[in-house]
Amino acid sequence: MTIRPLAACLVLLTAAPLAATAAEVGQPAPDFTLSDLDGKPVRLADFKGKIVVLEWFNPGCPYVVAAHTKGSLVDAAAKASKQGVIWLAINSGAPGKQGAGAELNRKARADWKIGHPVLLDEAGTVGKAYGATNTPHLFVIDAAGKLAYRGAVDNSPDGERASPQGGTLVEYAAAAVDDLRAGRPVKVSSTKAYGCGVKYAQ
Amino acid sequence: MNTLSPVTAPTRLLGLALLLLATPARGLEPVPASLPPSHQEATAWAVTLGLPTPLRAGVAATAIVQLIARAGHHINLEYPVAFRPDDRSTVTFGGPRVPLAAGASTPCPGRAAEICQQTLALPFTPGAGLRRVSGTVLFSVCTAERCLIERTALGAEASP
Repeated sequence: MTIRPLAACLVLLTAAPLAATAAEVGQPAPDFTLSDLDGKPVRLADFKGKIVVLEWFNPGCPYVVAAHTKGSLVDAAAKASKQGVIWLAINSGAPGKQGAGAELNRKARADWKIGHPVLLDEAGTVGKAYGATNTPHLFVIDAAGKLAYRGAVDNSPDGERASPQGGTLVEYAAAAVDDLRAGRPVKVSSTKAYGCGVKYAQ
Repeated sequence: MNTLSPVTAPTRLLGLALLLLATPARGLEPVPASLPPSHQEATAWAVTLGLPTPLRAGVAATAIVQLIARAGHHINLEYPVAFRPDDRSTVTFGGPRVPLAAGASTPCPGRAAEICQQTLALPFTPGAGLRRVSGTVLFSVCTAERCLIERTALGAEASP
C-alpha cells in the first residue's frame, strides 16, 4: 500500500530532469506558439521540414546592440533567409524589464533593418523550455525538428567580432546551419552563450 | 562716413605675436596631442592606468589597469577586456587590440561570488625617449538587471 506514494515520488523525481533536458541537442525542439509584434501567431511546428534558427533577443542589451550593429548578427538572418532558413527572434523579457514590450522591439527591428519576426514571450515559458540564459542565445533546429545547436552566435564574447577566442572568428550558429544544409553532422553543437541575462519575470 | 581707425603700435605688436604663435617653428618636432587622463570614472565604475618604473628601451614592460565596479555593479569577467592603443602612444603594443590579462581580484562586499576590483596587465615595449601609453580600455560591468559595455580613454606617460 505504501508503495504507490513512493512510486509517485519516483515518477516526479525522474520527470523533472526529463523536462529540463527537453531542449537538449539531438532531442525534439519544444514546440511553441508566440505572437509577433503585430499580434500574429507564429507556430514553430509550421516550419517542420525547414531549418529554423531561434535567436533570443533584447534590444536594450548592449551585447545584442553590438551584435546587430557591428557583430555577427548584422546580416546573418538575411543571409540565412536567402538559403531558405527560417529565423525567429524571441524576446522573453517580462513587462517592465529592459528591452521588453512591442514598441522597443519594433524600433530595434526598424533601426537594425531586421526582416524576420520578433516574437514576444513575456511569460518566459518558451525561453525556459529552451533553457535560454542569455541575449543573444542561438538555437538551431534541423529540418526534422530536432535541436542541432545551442549556444553563442560566435566565439567573440564582446559581441563585435573583435576578440575571437583563439584568434580566429568562428560563427557557430552559421556554421551549424551550413553543416545541416550540407547534410553533415553539426561539428560544434553546443557552446556557452555570452551576453546579458534573459530578463525573465523571475 | 565710414573711416578706418589708424592701427596703433600695441595692436601691431599683438598681431605679430599672434602670427608668430600660429606659425609652426621649423626644425621642431610637432607638439604631441595631449594625453587622456590616467583615471576615469562614472557612476558604475572607475578605471585607472599606471605605468611601471623604471622603463628600459626595448625591454618588455607591463602597465597596470585597475578596474573598479561600484553602485551595485560587478565586473563582467566573461567580457574580453582589452586596450585599443591610439596614435598618441609612443610605445609598441602586441596589436591594435591588446587583451588585458586578469591579475588580482577582490570580491564585492557582501557578494563573494562577484568581483568588484580587478587588476589587469597591459603588456608593451618602450622605445627611447618619452614613453606614452594612450588608448581606450574596453570592459563590461553588470548588475543582476543589466550589463554595460564601456569604453573609456586613458593615458599615462613616463620620462626615460
